Amino acid sequence: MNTIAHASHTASLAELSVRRIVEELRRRVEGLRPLSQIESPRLQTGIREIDEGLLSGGIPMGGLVEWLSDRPGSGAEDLALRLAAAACRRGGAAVIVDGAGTFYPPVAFQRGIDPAQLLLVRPASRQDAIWAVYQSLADENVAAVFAAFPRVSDIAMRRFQLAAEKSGGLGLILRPEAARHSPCWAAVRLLVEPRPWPRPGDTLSEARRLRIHLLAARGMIPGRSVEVLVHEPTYPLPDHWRLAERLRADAARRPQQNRVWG
Amino acid sequence: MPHAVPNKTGSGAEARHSLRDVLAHRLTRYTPTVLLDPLDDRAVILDLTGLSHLWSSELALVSEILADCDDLGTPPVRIAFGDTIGMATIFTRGAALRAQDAALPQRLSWVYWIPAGQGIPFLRRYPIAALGFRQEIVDCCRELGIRTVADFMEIPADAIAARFGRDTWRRWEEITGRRTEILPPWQPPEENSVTQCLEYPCTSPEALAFCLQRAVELLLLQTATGDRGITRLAVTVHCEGGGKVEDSLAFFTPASDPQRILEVLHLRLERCHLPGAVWGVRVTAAETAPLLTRQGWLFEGLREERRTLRWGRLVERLAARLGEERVLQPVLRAEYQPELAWEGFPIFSARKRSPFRATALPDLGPRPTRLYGRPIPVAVMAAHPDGPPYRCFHGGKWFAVVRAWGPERIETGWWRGRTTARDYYRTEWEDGSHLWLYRRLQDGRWFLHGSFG
Amino acid sequence: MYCELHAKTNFPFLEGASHPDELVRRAAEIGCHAVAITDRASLAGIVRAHIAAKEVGIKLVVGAEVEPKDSLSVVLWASDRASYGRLCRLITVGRRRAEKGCCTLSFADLADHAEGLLAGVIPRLQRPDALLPRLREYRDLFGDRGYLLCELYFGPNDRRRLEWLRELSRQSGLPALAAGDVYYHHPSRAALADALAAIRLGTTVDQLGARRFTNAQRCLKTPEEIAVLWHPLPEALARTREVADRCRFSLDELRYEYPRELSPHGESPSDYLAHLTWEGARRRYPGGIPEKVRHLLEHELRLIRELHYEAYFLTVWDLGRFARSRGILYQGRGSAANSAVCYCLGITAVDPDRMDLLFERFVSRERNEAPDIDIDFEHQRREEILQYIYQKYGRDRAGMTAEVITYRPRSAVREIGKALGFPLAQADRLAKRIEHFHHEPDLEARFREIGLDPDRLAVRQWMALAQGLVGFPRHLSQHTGGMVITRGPLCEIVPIENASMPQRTVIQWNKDDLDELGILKVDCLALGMLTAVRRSFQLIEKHYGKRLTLASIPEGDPGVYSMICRADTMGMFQIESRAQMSMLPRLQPKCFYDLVIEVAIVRPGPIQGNMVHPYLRRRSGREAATYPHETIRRVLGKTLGVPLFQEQAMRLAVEAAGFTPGEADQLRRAMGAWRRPGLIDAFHKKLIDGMTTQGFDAGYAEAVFRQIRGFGDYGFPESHAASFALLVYVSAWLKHHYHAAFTVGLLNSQPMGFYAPAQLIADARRHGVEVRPVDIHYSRWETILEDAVPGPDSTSHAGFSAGPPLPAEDSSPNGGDRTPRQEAPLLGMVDESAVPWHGSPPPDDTAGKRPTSWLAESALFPPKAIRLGFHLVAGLRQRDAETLVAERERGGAFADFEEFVRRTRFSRSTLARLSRADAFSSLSLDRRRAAWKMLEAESRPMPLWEAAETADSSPRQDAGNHGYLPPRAKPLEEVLADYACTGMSLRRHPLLFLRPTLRERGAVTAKELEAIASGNPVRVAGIVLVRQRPSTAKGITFVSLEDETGIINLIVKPDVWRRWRSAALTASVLWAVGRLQKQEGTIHVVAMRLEDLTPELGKLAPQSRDFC
Repeated sequence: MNTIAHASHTASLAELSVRRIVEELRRRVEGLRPLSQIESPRLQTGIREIDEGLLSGGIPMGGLVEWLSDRPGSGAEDLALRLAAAACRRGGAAVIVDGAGTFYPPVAFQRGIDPAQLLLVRPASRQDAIWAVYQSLADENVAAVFAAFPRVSDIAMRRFQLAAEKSGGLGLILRPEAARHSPCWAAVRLLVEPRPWPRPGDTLSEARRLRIHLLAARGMIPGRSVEVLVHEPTYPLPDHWRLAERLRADAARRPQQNRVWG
Repeated sequence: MPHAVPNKTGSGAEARHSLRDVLAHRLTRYTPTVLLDPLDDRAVILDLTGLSHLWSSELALVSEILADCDDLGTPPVRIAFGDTIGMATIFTRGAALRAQDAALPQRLSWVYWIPAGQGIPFLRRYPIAALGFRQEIVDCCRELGIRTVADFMEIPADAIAARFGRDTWRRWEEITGRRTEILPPWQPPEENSVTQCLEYPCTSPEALAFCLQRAVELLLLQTATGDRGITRLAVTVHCEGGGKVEDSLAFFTPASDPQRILEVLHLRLERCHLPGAVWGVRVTAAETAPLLTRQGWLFEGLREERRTLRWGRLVERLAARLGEERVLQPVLRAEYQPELAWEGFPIFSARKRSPFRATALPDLGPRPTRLYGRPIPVAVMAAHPDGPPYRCFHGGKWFAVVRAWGPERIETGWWRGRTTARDYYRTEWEDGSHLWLYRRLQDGRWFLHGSFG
Repeated sequence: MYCELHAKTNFPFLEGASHPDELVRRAAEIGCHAVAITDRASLAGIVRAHIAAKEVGIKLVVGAEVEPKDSLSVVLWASDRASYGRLCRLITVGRRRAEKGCCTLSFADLADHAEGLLAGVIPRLQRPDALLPRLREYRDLFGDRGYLLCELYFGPNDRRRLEWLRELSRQSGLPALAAGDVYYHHPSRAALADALAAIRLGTTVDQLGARRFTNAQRCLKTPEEIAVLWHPLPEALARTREVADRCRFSLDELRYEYPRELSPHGESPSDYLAHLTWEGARRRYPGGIPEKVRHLLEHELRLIRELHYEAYFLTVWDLGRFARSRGILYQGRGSAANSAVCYCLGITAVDPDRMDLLFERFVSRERNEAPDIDIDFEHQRREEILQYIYQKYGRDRAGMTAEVITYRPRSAVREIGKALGFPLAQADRLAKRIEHFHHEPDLEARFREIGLDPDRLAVRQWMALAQGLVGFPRHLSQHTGGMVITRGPLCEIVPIENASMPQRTVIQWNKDDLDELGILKVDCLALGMLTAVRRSFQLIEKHYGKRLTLASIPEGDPGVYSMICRADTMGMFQIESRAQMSMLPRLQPKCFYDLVIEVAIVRPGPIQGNMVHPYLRRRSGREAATYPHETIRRVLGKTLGVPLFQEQAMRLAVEAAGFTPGEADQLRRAMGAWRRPGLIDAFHKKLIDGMTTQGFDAGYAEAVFRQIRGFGDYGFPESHAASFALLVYVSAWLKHHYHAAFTVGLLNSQPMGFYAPAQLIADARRHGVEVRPVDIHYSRWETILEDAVPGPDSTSHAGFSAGPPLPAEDSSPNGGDRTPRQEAPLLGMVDESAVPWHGSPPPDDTAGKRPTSWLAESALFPPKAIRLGFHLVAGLRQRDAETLVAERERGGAFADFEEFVRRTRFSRSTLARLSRADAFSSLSLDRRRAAWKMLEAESRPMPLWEAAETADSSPRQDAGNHGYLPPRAKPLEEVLADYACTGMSLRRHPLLFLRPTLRERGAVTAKELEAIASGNPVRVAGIVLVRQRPSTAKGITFVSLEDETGIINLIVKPDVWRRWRSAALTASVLWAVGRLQKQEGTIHVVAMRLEDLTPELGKLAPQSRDFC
């Protein structure tokens, strides 16, 4: 089981060109698929098992992705944010509708969302939240909308889907696992299930093990699942040296000794 | 030509201007000609030429003005009368100097009343500094031993112009009344508002919508004629029985399109509870700004801005419906303490702000997607007092911690008076979830602070 | 066992937050085997660390961190003497290349100096893929001496970082080595480190953001912490010991070697020195070398040969020779200076034949103490000497000693306040309240005074951090003159860096560091008095035709001593301070050695050691000089049993307490200023024990210890005192015989001494010297002597008689009288005839006492007057003054103001400065008229000069004049204007104008004080001349007030000072109520109440505030 930690950072030139060829090939293969899917660009989490194995090359713009999980810290939000970042990279804003008021924006920036293009909405009620998600999805300048709902009506989900289809945006809706039995209006419904690490106490890697189930997908075969290792997309080096580096640079820039006395 | 110059002793430039407006507005009761002193942005000049017969005496006028000031709650004022504008201002300024000198209580108002036509003899005793010449002229006079106006009057007229320059001469002529001083008149600040009334109080939303539409359209006709649009709109809905709803709306970019304004207005009013049938509305353009959007397209470099302008419409709607304080722009701050590492600014105030507050942003370690507003105390078993947790009690049961990374030690904030000292651990629990725990170093207690994804 | 190999002290300024010794002590405390000090491109703190390491017995690894701009930063450790030299050279290369305070190096430089050095590469670079090639570069360069520094500070995942480092180490072939990148010795210093960063970056702590460290872990960690941290990589831990063991270099190995070129080729330094000495001796004693001197010379030369100090004496001789050849006045001092050899070599002018008691021991054979000779040069010409040294030995072999400028309470409070984000005005206000002469300011009280609550946390932090910052080095400055000259390249002993002055370099060590390592330096100091003396000599030669040298001043002039005994010493060397002045009448110096004692006794050492009063009592015969032991008589005989000199204190330790000379030497070092004050107490027991076993009374032993400790602050060696005393005598002689010339010499040598030019001029006038004001027709840039034409007008403020024919008086109605004397009395309050002129000759009684020698000297020559120079005009540039003088000499006198403007083409501001200085008197223009004229000139419609030149001076072209002239200045106004411009007035004393008011309030004059009995309450007032607070005076401030009759000495005790603080600190005219204290010829007023009278003067001179 291997993953690409974050392809854009580490890929060499050779890899890139290979990937371009693969993409080209994939596009040709997709000529066999329904038209709507081919035209819309596909978004990827950057984790190959999910993108290729589960989503057949990624998620199309202009639709909803439902992420189901049964507990906080399961990893679903992280994956959803990766998609949001991928959507934003194509241009457009990201709107986080944060009813719980606990969303931590720095992590969005760490995932690569441009801070100037991030809007954090903290609605006071579920109605307002649903309204805000709808409004945001309907705006064509918004690339991705990220929202978590403990409860949301099917009608609302239906409206979200329509708004997204119309504007070409991507809706990322996090729901509890219990929602798996409700009708699915989303383009894709994924269940994220954290798996325990096989070797307790192994702290060398921060990777986590997840099983992702494709519960429903339009134009794809549901029921598949993959198990992946997800790495934290931080820099390969820890940070302290950067600080020292900066201090050093600052110190070198200004010769403080003759600051006062000349 | 008598002039009265109430000179307020208050301070603070920002406050002064508005206070002067208030005062000037009130003083238009006495004379149509209220002037502004360009040398002192606290002073207001009343031209009373030919008006003195309206009051029994000038002192009666003074007491009325003082009563007015009291009424308006202004700080203490100084009022002086003079034959010319220049003289009147000098008398107030001289009074100011004197007040400083003698450390007189500043809470009293002062009146300087010099009988008409006797200004010059009074003036002779004033220091040269009071004449309002440029500072270098004042210094120069001091060096020459010219200390009082009387000394100055010794100098032959043409020598003044030749030695001290035309400005000085002109000013002197104005003071002595040989030349008329022309000052800018005070003008009331514009208020752009439109009131629309219904024929009878009405509860139907359509009627209200119609009324609003008329009001907004009229307002736009009135204000948005030039290159300006509305950035903040104040709205008051008057209801039967004296009740009213007041609110204000912000616009991301100057708005001149009635549809856009009405849409946002409706969103806002939808949330408002109206205390009774509506009989009228009043809309006011509280803030306006030049319509940038038009120029925006001309310059390639502004493309980025254009994009934000476009999604600005969404922001306006969101803010109108949800409240401005609920639509935030997150701004990163250079702080190690996790909860202080960002700050949410209401989008309208954040508009002009860089999303990065400080230049030196820390490179953070792995951070959770959810950070609890208040860290949750948890019971934790750790291998040793400084070590990572291995069991946590949460939600009524014990969880084994399978893996723990850290500690990431954060010690900061001593200058804020609350030193934060925490050892953060990213932990993987037996159910596979990743949670962020910290041990408070001061007392060793554990808290759950966030979750990863 | 862990050794910390990467630690910074506070010597990379404003980075590290611990002193070198704190780091070393802490390392020893937590059980480190060794500790390295690796400051960034600096070895400035290493000697202090070295001393501390020797004291606590821990191994010190010498190193530095350098940052090649094209590669990774690296920590370098010196393995042996040679590699240490290369490290110094490397730092020197980088430092010399960059501007002051910076260091620019490249990897190639590193490669040039790598041999023998051990290297710990710090793996930090933005792009990880660029890391490996750089690391391999280092491995190739250093081979098995290269390591990879692995540092952990409680990051998010140290385990992963460690794995990454291990991998890096494996791939690069550099063994992993554990280190801490330590910035402070204890976590409690983390806040101070933050504050330092804020100060360095010019921001506040809360704005530092990512520029501070995440946590407080940049400290020295205990072995337990280290063990836990490095548990996964034990070999990195073990390697620290290996590296420490490979570094065998210790600073003790540095050996100083003298330059070779001191003696002519083929001659040994020893022979050459002897040759020069005997030659000099024959010149010094043309009548034959006295037997005593011959004996001394032989003895000293033998000692010098034995101790191999010839080179040192030759070096000093060479400097003296050079100075003589340039006509620069100099004088040697220091323990070795007052030897017969130095006298014969021309280094000093103190004749050993005359001073036999003094110099029996100048270089100790037992103690291997380096000889100590400081040479004072004229302060205006010392630069020539320094350039000579650089030229002769080259910049690579000569360097200037550094002086470490440290934070003092005032600067610390200000900087910390700024760093904590307190308003700048508040920090400044607070800092101003902390008087710089305060040793330990009562910070809390100061904070309260400006309304800050010391109980508030932020204020507490401010205080605590400021206290922590005090004593931190702030930057390296150059020492006032310590030059190190070496045989080999200097930069292999210590790194050299650029000083702020161009063409100046400075080594990274200060004089204590050099002392500690036994490295020899020559102190080339600057002394203003020498300049003044040389200038006086020149003037005397020119105007009186007499040639003088330091050595040729006739000794034992009773007139000179009686002047000194009167404390009439303003302007003299050393004895012009308040403390000295009040001592003189009590000590009554009668001979040269009395002056030596006078110079030495008014020092913090003797004063704190409580030696002054016993000495005075014994001297005046009120107490018998007793010697509890014969040894004591030997040591202290000449100072009547009271130790006054530093070497007496040391000899007491040797002879009375049985110290070895080496221990006495340590004792002397322990007296040094920067070391911990507690250190000297360690010698306490030893000294007391030693003395009691020798049979001394324990009480006496305690007293001796107290006295010795007193020297800890400041003691004066006898030889220094003797050299200074010579200058005291010379300056006193000059003042006595050639007061005018001496005053001119002083004025032209400013800044120097205790007193401002105004006070020196006033003093000269009190002595009957005529002083003439600055004038465009007579003044030059410098102050000069003019022939005084005796006559009724000779004391008037302007010597018109010597000028060119005066232009016609203008006919304006109020422009007639020229001399302000005839002016109407100011405000009708001053009775002109009743008050004497401030500048009038002293009353007859003093004139009568004038010694005959004065008459003899000056009778042959016409009396001289002082003509003040343009240098006393505030803000006037020398270039302009020289233009003026040149124009005057070219085209003759100026007919009128217009002509002056036309010919000099001065700018408005220059004209304004001259007119403000009242320099147009000889054009019969007072300053107001001149200013008016100036405006006139300015108001001309076209360029003034061209028009006037073609029209050939058309006199009344100005249409706007109309005969108006500005109002006449009243006398007080003139005086105040004089003060405003030059800080003095040659007219009347300002106090004269206040006198009626003062009389009403019951004040007496300085003169009148003489007639009042001691103990009486008095009221006085005067212009504040000086405020002095000697550190020894227990917070007492001495304030000198000047009124129209003389000087009043005020004593302000701390409680009075505190009570009347604002008046005491800021008043220009001070009123004091107090008690008269007369004691042995000194007159003091002990103040009880003070008042600022400055506004009173303002009231007399109508100013802008006076109206309505």
